Formats: sequence, C-alpha cells, structure tokens
Amino acid sequence: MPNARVLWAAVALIAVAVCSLFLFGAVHAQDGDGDGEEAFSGTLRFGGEPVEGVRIVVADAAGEAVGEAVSGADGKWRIALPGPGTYGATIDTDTLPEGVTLRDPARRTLEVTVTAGRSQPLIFALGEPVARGPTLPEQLAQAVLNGTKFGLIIAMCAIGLSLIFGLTGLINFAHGELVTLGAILAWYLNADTVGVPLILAGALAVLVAGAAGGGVEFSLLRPLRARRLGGFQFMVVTIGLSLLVRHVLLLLFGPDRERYVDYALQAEWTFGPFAATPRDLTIMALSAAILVAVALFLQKAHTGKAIRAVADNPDLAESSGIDVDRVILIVWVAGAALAAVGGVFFGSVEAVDWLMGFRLLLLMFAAVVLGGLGTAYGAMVGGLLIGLVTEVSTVWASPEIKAVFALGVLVAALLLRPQGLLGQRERIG
Amino acid sequence: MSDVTTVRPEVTRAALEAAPPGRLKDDPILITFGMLKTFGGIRAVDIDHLEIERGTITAIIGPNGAGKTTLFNLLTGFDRPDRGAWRLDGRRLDGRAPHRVARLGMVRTFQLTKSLSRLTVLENMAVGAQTQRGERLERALLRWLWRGEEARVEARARELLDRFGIAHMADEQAGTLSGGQRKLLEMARALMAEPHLVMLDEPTAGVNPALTESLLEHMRALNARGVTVVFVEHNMDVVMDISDWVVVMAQGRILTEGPPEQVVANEEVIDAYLGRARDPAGGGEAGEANDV
Amino acid sequence: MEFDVILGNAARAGLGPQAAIFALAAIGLNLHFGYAGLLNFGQVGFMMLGAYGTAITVATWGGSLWLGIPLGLGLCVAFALALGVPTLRLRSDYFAITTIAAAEIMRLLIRSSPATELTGGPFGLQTIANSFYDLNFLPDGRFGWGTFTYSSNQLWVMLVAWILVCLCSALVLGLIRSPWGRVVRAIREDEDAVRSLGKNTVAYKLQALAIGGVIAGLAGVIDALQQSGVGSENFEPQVTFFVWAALIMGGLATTVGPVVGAMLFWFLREGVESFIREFSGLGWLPDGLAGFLDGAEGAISIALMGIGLIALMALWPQGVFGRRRDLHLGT
Ligand SMILES: Nc1ncnc2c1ncn2[C@@H]1O[C@H](COP(=O)(O)OP(=O)(O)O)[C@@H](O)[C@H]1O
Ligand SMILES: [Mg+2]
Repeated sequence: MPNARVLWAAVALIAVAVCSLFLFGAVHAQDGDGDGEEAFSGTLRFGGEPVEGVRIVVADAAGEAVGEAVSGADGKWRIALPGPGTYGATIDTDTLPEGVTLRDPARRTLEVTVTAGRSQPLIFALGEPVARGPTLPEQLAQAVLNGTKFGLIIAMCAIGLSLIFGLTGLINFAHGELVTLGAILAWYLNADTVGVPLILAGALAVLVAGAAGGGVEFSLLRPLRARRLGGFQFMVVTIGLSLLVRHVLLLLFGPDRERYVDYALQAEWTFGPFAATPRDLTIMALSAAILVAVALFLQKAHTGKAIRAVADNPDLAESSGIDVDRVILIVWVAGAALAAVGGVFFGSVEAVDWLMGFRLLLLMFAAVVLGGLGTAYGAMVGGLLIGLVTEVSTVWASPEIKAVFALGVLVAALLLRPQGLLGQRERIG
Repeated sequence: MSDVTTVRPEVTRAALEAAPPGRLKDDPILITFGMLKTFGGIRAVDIDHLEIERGTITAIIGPNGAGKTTLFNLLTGFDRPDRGAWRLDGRRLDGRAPHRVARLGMVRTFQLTKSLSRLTVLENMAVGAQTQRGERLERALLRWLWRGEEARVEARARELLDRFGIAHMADEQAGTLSGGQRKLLEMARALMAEPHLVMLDEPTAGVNPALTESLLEHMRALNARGVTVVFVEHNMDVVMDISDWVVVMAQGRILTEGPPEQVVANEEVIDAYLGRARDPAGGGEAGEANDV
Repeated sequence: MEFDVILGNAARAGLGPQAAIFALAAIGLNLHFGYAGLLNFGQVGFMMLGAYGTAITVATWGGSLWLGIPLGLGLCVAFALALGVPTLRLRSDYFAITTIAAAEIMRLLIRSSPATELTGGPFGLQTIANSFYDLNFLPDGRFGWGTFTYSSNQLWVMLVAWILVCLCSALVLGLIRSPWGRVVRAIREDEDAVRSLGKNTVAYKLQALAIGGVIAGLAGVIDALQQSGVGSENFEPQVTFFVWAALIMGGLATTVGPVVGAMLFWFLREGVESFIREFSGLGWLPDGLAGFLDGAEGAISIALMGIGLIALMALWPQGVFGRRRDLHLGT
C-alpha cells in the first residue's frame, strides 16, 4: 500500500534524522556527564579569553559554605560538592580583573540543583552590560535565527492541532499536553536513573505520545462522536483531558524546570552574525526535514490526500468511500507524535516543565489562526511567522512580553484577512 | 437558432431579441449594475445589468453553481462583491451591512432553512418585527416602555402564524418543527419585518407537494398585497405556475430573462439548464448560442 | 475518618467568597455563552482587569477605591470592545482562540518587569481594601459556630459578594426576558438569520460581551477586596476553565445554574482536597505514598475535576439544571 510506504518512509526519515542528532551532537557535547562525584564546574571567559584568578564560593541550602575554587589559567574552575542537592554558587566580583564585569549583575549567585553523581556546569557570563552588546543588525540576525528555530518547533506542534480541527471541527485544548508528555517522558528516560540516550529516549517518548493521541481518539472521542455530542461538548472534554493530564504530569514531574542530561551545554558555533549550538542547528534541520516530509505526505501519499479530502468536506469524502474514522485516527496519532517531537526539541533547546505545552498551546493557537484553521500548511506558515515575530520583538522589547507580539500579529491578521493566510472563506446561505 | 421557432412556433426570434438580459423595466424596485464576484478563479456572479419590476413575482432559475445564492448574498449585504452598484427604491445599497439592507425593506430567506431552534415559534416571529424598541439595551429593563408594543407584535405574529397554518405550534420550540413547517416559519418571520421586497432562496426545496402548494399560495397572497417577490426555484412547473418574470442564470451570468413561456422556449436556457434531452434538434449548437 | 470535618470544609468553601466570585464570573460567562453563544475562553482576563484596575488606582496612584472600581469595570468594557471588534464578525472558533490568548498575554504583560511600577509585576499590589472594610457596619468579633466561624470582615465580604451575585442574576434574568435578550438568544441560534431580519448582530454581541465582562470584572473586584490585594498568579488561564466547569455543572442558559455550579465547584474541590488530607493522615498508607500525597491534594483535585468534566459531558451534558431536550435542538 503506497500510504503505508510513505508513512514508513517518514518514520525512517525521522529515525535517521534523530540518530544524526545523536552522532552530530555527541561529538560536540561538552563535559557535564556524570563522573561519579557531584560538583560544579565551568569556564570563565571574557571576550573569548579565559579569565584567571577569580574566586567562586558555593554554599548549601542552609547558607553554609561547602567549598570554593579559583579559576585557572585556562579559565576553568571546579568545586566538589558534598552530595546531591541545591546549592548556591557565588562569584566574587572583587576578584574579577580590572574592566571585567558580570554581564548581568543580578546573576552573581546561581541557585542550581545537582543530581547524584553529576558534575553540573555553571556559566557566569562575563562581559560589559550594555556598552559592548551586539549591534542592531547582529541582534536582528540572531533573533531571526532563533525565531526560525522556535517557529519550526511551533509549526511542528501545531500541525496536529490544525488538522484535527479541519477534520472534526474540534479545538483540542489538550494538544499542549501532548507536547509536555513527549518532553517529560524523554526527560524521564534520559535522566540519570534510567540513563537512556536522549535520541532513543525522544524516539520512545514520541511513540508513546502517538499511541496516547490515538488512544484518546479511539477510546474516548470516537465513542462520543457516535453519541452525537455537540462541538462544544467535545471542547469541554478536551479541556477536562488537558486539566487531567497536566496535573498528573505535575504530580509525577514536580513543579521545577529541568534540562535533559544530554546536549545540555554546548559551545556555540558562530557564522558571521549568527551564533548557534550544534544541537540547535541539528534541531532546526530536523524540524525542517520533518515539515517537508509532512507536506510531501499530505501531497503525495494516498492517506495524505485522504486527509486533505476529509478536511475539505467530510461528507463528500465519506460518500466517496474514504474511511473517515480511520483518517481521523491517523491524524491523531501523527499529530500527537509530531507534538511530542516538538516537545522533545523544545525541551532540548530550552527546558522541560509541566506547563511548557500549555504555554506553547497559546502560540500554537495564534499560529493556526494566522495560517488558517484546519490546514496543515497554514499551521506551518503561521508557526514560522509567530516564532519569528516573537523572537524579533525581543530585540526591542523585554523578552517577558514577546508573546504579546504574537497576539498583535494575530489581531492584525484577523482584521486584514479573517480566513487566515491560507484558509478559505466560509459559505453563507 | 431557427430551431427555436420551429420547436415552439409561438415564440418568434423577434420576441426573443426584444428580451435581452438586463432589460429595462417600467418601474424597477431593484437595479443592479456591473456586479462581479469571484471566488479564486471562478466568476460566481458577473452581471452587467439587472432590474426587478415592482409588484411582480420574479423567478431566478439556473443550474446548481450558477451563482443564484451568491447573487442573493451580494444583494442583501451578506457578501461583498469585487465591484458593482445596486439600488433599492433609488437608495444605494452597496457597502451596506445586511441588517441595514433588511431595514430598508429587502428581506431574504436562506436555502438551508434557518430556524432559531431553541426559541419558541412565537419568539422566532417576534425577532422579525422591526418596531420593538425594547430591543435596545438601554430600554431592555424598562418594561413599561415596550410592554404595549410587545402585545401588538404578538398579535401580529399570531395572526401570521394562523395564516401560515402553524398557529398551533406557537409556543413550541422551533427546533421541534418539521422541515416544511420551518420553511413556512421562515417565510412568515420574514413577513414580520414588513418588507417591500422578499428574496426567497429555494423556498420549496425539500417541501412536500401539499406544503409547496400552500407556500405558493402565500407568495401569491403576499404579492397581491403589493410586496415584490424574488425567488430561486428548480421546479419548472412551479416557475411556470407562479412567476410573472423569469431570470435565467448560468455560470454567474444572466443568460436571458423574460416572461416564463418565452424563457422556457429559449434554446440557450434549454442548453444550459433544462438539458438537451428536451431539445430534439438543437445538438451541437451551444457555441453559436452564446452570441445572444 | 472525620467525615463531618470534610463536609464542613466543603460546605464552608461552597458558601465562601471564592464561590461567590466564581458565581459572578459564571453569571457573566452564562450571558456570553449560554445566552449569546459567544465562546469566551478569556473570562479570567475580565476578572483580572476588574481587580487590577481597582488595585492600581488605589495602590499605585493613591486614588480612591470608589474611583478604582468603576475604572476597573470600565477597563472590562474596553477589553470587550478591543476583543470583540476584530473577532466578533468571524466564526466562533476564532473568537475562542483569541480570547484565551488575549487574557493570558495580558497577564504576562501585567507581571512583566517593564510594568512593575504600575502593576507590581510579579509581586502584585497590596493593601487596597481599607475603604471597603471601613464600610463594614457589622459588629466586631467572630460569628457562627464550628467550621462556620467568620470574622466580621469575612462576613462583610461574603455579604456584599452574595448580594452582588443576586443582583447580577436578577440583572441578567431581566435582560434575557426582554426583547433585547430575545435578539441575543436568537443570535446564539443563528446569527445570519437574525442579520437578515434587520438586527445589528455585532452590536448585540458586543453589548453581551461587555455586560458579561463587567460582571466578571466585579468578580475580580471582590477577589481583590477579599484578599486586599492582587497578584497575577491568581489569574492564570486555568481559572477560566474552572469557571467553565462551574457553569457547565450548574447548567447553561439558566438563571440559577451559574450560582449553583459555582457553589458545587468549590464544595467538591475543597471536599476532595479535605478528603485526601484526612485520608493520608490516617496512617493507612505506606510512607512513600503518603509522602507523595502530602501537599499534592490541589493537583489531585484538579486532575479529578478533569475526569469529572469528561464524565459530565459523556453522561450528563446538560448539567444540573439544564434541559436535556435542548441539547438535541442545537444547531
Ligand atoms: N464561499 C465560497 N467560496 C468559494 N466558492 C464559492 C463560495 N460560495 C460560492 N462559491 C462558488 O460560486 C459558485 C456559485 O455558487 P452558488 O451561488 O451557491 O450557486 P447556486 O446558488 O446557483 O447553486 C459555485 O461555483 C460555488 O462553488
Ligand atoms: Mg443556491
């Protein structure tokens, strides 16, 4: 069957791509892997040059000093810790050489939790606060790069949201939880206790999330559709689902932000005005590849065409012999899996926490409305745009309010082109 | 071309040519110029000139997708044309929102019936009234300002319901009505607005023959009281039976218009709408027919 | 296990100021969705504006509370217009998505550091309600018995809050029974049909949105008075979902539905949390599980609420006071 072939090809592509992340990233991953003893370590640099002779003091949660160190000629320092736990590392700014300052004076003390057997890297960013910052074009270039990165991830997460709406008219409020589920599962598998490499952990998490999405459709929504519940009731069901999953994840994962063990800290590569870690570049390449694969699938594969047909007109598709229920199930599985991939990527780029998917959901909403509700390509275009706009806004505005700009774009788009960039007008009469 | 005169000897070429699309009317209530609406590449409506004669019953016919509903949407403000101007009783309507069009006296119904399901039949009717100033927010709580009018509206609604034969359902929720009853309700509700011109989009679609007959009766009665009626219809018997004038649309354009007997004899109409089966001699001449 | 304690706690929550605040928000939402068919998922945004408008006037600008409250409610009207004008012409899904995004983004703005001078940023604003408690004519001291013991000020807030609940219920009832309300309910059924009958449906929807928003703004004001302060963490999107849950439980498009739903919501929520506390305190559970449950009752009760919502929709979608019949007449 051609559709199965393309599906498998897509899976294989994702698998190959994910493996390449492993190989590519592994080479460049810095230290920070467990060597049996808990410690803080890091390298102090100023304008690319190592900084020597700076004192760093570590205190435990009770405020008792537990160790200190002075950076060596290569800028490196390391402080052994008495055991796992939360410690505060403070840099003694008096020992900084003349003219060298912390880039952010507020980050003189870093509070960090160390897990068992792990040497935790810390960064005290040195540099002049404002004066020697990047120029505006440099900042813009960097923001565009970051925006593309987040845009690709948002787009990937939002495809399922948009297609599910297109097929069933349902706004899935639980879509963000699929993102979180993927990210947290991968974190759990990757963490020291289980220790699966992130690539494998991510792949497993994606499979589980895909199955979970399929399970929701198959065992919950399909039976409810058979009972002819209204659109509003379905929306409430997904709200219930999102509350349930989110808080179960909170119970299991806890309220803190965590990072993956692998690829947490990498040296940045710079190309002209751009700077990115190999991890981020790999993730961008992978995301782009996945989006292209999805587009090809929708365009060429038998099932992909069926998906578009059902999204276009469910009744017509049904009467022309398409198994609508099956198409919906496929979209749920694939959409959930894509959301989980996005979650793993996002967790890798930023951090993992129990609310990440819900926060991302708002950006996904903006993306799908911007692109046109119900179309996969709209989600892609909208996601990219939202990612770009939010990141570019940080050049001028506080990063805390970058989401505000997403809304601004959304409202402007609604005023100018209510059906979304790629959407179609509704019929009247 | 000469086939037409031989098939239907009573229609002469001269008579047909005397009735090109966009014919001027003696006393037009509605005048449309240069109306164009495209969806993507499709010219859904492309009408140079159309007039509706006051006090008549005008049927609009044409195959599915001809642009009849789109024309209704444009005329009543539910959709905006790419270009075009139209006037109702001399007042320009282009750019007016649907509710303003309705207030000026042109009220429409929809192809897919729109009953207000969880309102009672009586409430459905009351929404049609234009005279209830208690519909304004600032008076909503001042019951004494609108109680009197409410009684008058209800009386008129009950009278209309009675005429339409659904008075016994007045206090039921409209969602419980049958399909045919909903069509009746929608038409009666439109009349509550006391329009000069009603635009009925397929009023008899999916209605059983007995109800169709009663719907047509109501249209005639309405017309007899001076209301102009425009309606979309697929059943040629109904068109022949009730309409004074027929406008034929195909692919967004007006093919021809004229009195019903004349229009059914037009070869182009037969080509475009009635199907070649009814035209024994006209095969293969569709291309030439375009130059009317 | 002390069932009377659990029941007592639950009942106290069901009668408390939080329930009244939710009742107000749900009354507004009922006007929005139950009557006008507006899928508003940003109700918490109105609550936040009511609360912050009041608090900013008093705490930041040193103005009077009696100026702050109308200002906060005015902000709700402005928000309704800003939200409604671009989106109310569009299909309802767009409105739903825009409202939830707008409310959350406003919250991010309020708690952002550039806004700190105005809004207190992440710290919020405090001591705003003195003039409100100055009006308290109840004698000092404590009233009631057992679990239901209240201080004079607590009782005063509850009194004012529940009076407002009654007034707003009556207001909405009056509006809905008027010709205005008939048009609004007709719009819920089929907006195009109503437009074809000469009604400016966008104006009606804006009016309904603004009135329901102001009622939710009142909920926010009461919240600010009750805590004598505001904090952005009280206005997370979650709150909107909870208000929806309360409204759905009570029943859409009914007068008492939102009120009963809000009481039921807090009764159940506090009941479940109380139950978990009592249960893990019994010492029946292994230490690991008891430790897990400790402090987790909030998350557990919300997770259970999620299950409850799903079950409610599957089994009893019309709520406590809704009419099942109506469900199948829907469009
Ligand atoms: N909202 C729309 N978007 C795209 N195409 C439309 C839309 N509405 C109508 N059309 C197209 O315009 C043409 C005219 O449709 P319509 O007015 O519904 O025809 P009729 O009522 O005569 O059957 C058709 O080709 C239809 O597909
Ligand atoms: Mg039509």
